[in-house]
Amino acid sequence: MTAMLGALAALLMLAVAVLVTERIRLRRWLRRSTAATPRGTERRSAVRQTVTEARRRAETAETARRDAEVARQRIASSLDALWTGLVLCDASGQIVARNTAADSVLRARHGEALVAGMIEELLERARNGEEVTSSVELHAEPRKSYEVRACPLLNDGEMLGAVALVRDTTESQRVESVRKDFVANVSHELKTPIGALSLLADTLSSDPDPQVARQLVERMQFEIQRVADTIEDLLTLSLLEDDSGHVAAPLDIGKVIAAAVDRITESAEQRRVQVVASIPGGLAPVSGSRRHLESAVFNLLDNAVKFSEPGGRVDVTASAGAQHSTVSVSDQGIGIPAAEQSRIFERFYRVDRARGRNTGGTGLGLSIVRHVALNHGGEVSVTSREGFGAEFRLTLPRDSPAAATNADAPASPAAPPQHAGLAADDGQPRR
Amino acid sequence: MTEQTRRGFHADIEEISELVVRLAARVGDSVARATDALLNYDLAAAQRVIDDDGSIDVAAFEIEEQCQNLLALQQPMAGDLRQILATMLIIGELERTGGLACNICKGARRMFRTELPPRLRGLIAEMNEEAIRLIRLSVDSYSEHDSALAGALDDIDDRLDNLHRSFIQSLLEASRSHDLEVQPAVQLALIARYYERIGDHAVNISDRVRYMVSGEMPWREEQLGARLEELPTDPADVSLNGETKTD
Repeated sequence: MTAMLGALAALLMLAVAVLVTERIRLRRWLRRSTAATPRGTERRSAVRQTVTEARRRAETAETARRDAEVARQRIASSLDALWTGLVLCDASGQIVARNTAADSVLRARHGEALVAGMIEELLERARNGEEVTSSVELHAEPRKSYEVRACPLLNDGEMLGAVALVRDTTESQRVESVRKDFVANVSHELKTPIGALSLLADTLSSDPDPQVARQLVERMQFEIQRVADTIEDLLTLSLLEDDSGHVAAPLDIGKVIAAAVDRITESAEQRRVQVVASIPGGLAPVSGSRRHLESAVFNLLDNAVKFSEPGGRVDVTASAGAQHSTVSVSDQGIGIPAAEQSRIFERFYRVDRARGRNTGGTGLGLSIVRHVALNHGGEVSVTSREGFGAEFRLTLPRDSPAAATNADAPASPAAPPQHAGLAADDGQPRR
Repeated sequence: MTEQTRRGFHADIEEISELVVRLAARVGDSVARATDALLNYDLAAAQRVIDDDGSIDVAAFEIEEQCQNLLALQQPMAGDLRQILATMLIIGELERTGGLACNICKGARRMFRTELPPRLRGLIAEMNEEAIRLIRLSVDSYSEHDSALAGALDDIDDRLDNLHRSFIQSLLEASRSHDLEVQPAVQLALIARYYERIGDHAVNISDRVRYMVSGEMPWREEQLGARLEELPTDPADVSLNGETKTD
């Protein structure tokens, strides 16, 4: 037992001795390798340098990554700001990017879903190397048109994918058709009566019969009147466009309407159309030019009378809101097709051309109304069902309170409306 | 089934839903084009609508095929299964609607050179708008899984029915006052009926959507409801009704 213990103690001491000597050797080695020997210093600085280098590289990489991210974000945001939709797909046809404008089309559910289909179709063709443009018309309301263009993206002949561009061409097409129609219509409106006049003059010079001659001259006078009307209206329009001489005075809108109704009475009676005015008393004054506003209201009445059937009725009313006064002219005539309603305020635009009717107007009346409305800071709008009449509303801003004090009618919007048959002051509709 | 295939399956269902939306957009556009052709007396436009109908049918068949593939390969269950089944029926309704747009065009051709009275024109334009609105609402209910909207469609369709009624009335008045001859009057009556049928197809779509969302079959309930009213005291029918509802 004692012998075993002794052996164990001896072993332990041996181990301790070995450990101590090893530690001393290690220390010496360390001192040798790290201390002032030139090789050690070299190695240490080399390590330090590598570490610094790596750190710097990492920083550069990080900055570059951040810059690239900023640049990418900048481009993405710029693409989002575009009116044109942009869709990008990779070589396999997978859509990899699209901007906001394209997104609204691609996510669309109704008409625009057709555009989305077209985009995919053209991208597919572009991936096969074709450069294609196509247009899509949406016929259901709201009518729109789009143009889609797709081209392949190539890098040294290698297919990277394709890009599709989508543009809403509704407005540009509308402007284009307005321009085209205007040119066609203005020549038509001026040429037709001139052609008729020259024909009539020819006949007149070769036919001595006084009975026939009288008829021809009557006819010529009619055509001359037509050209004169057209030119008169064109001049009015160009005056209205040059707004510089616009004189604003506070006006009683009731009196303006009364004057216009007075002017229409004769032609209304000829067509057996009843014009009924009901103007509440105490309407707030509007500010503007009496002559222009009267001509606007007259044009609306003229239009309503022309498109009424004999025995029909035209109502003209006025009402005042907090900021606006509204003159409304409604008829029970043939109405205006929904698709044409946005175009009737264009110069020379005629719905009756398509309907094969000739009402004998200049085709400029409603353009004049719209110009007057815009010059006065107001607007004109229409609601109509074809076959159920139409209502035109001319909205004008009220005169400012300062001007209202010297208005020619005492203004109080709260005053109870008195029903006044304007044309005849007895409240009875006038025929 | 692995996560990957499952995700593929839902992408497939998503794609089918998108294709249905596009098909509906084309069909709605066809209806609008048919109305334009009718009101503008445009025979060429009418011909184009008729020519394009073939590709609508092809698109419908393609969707049907995709549905069949999903059914066969993925064995979908519950909501997914109902969506695929409903979709297969919905595309049939859409395809029929496209056919009705063609019928409108053919009617327009048969009555060529007839000047339409303004009131009838106005009503046609309104029926067109209402029919397209119904198609759109039914598609909205489909892609949003909105059974409340789908349920409301039948009542919304009343407006189109009323328009149809006033159209027939105006038609009778017009032919009584000799504004319209018999031949075009008959065509117009048929055309009005086509618009009304388009509305009915939209309501059918909404019924399928209700089934798709809730699993209930509205038409069946209504039928049972009608039967219940006939036999109000029979307890067997009451329990049958109860069972159907919990289906």
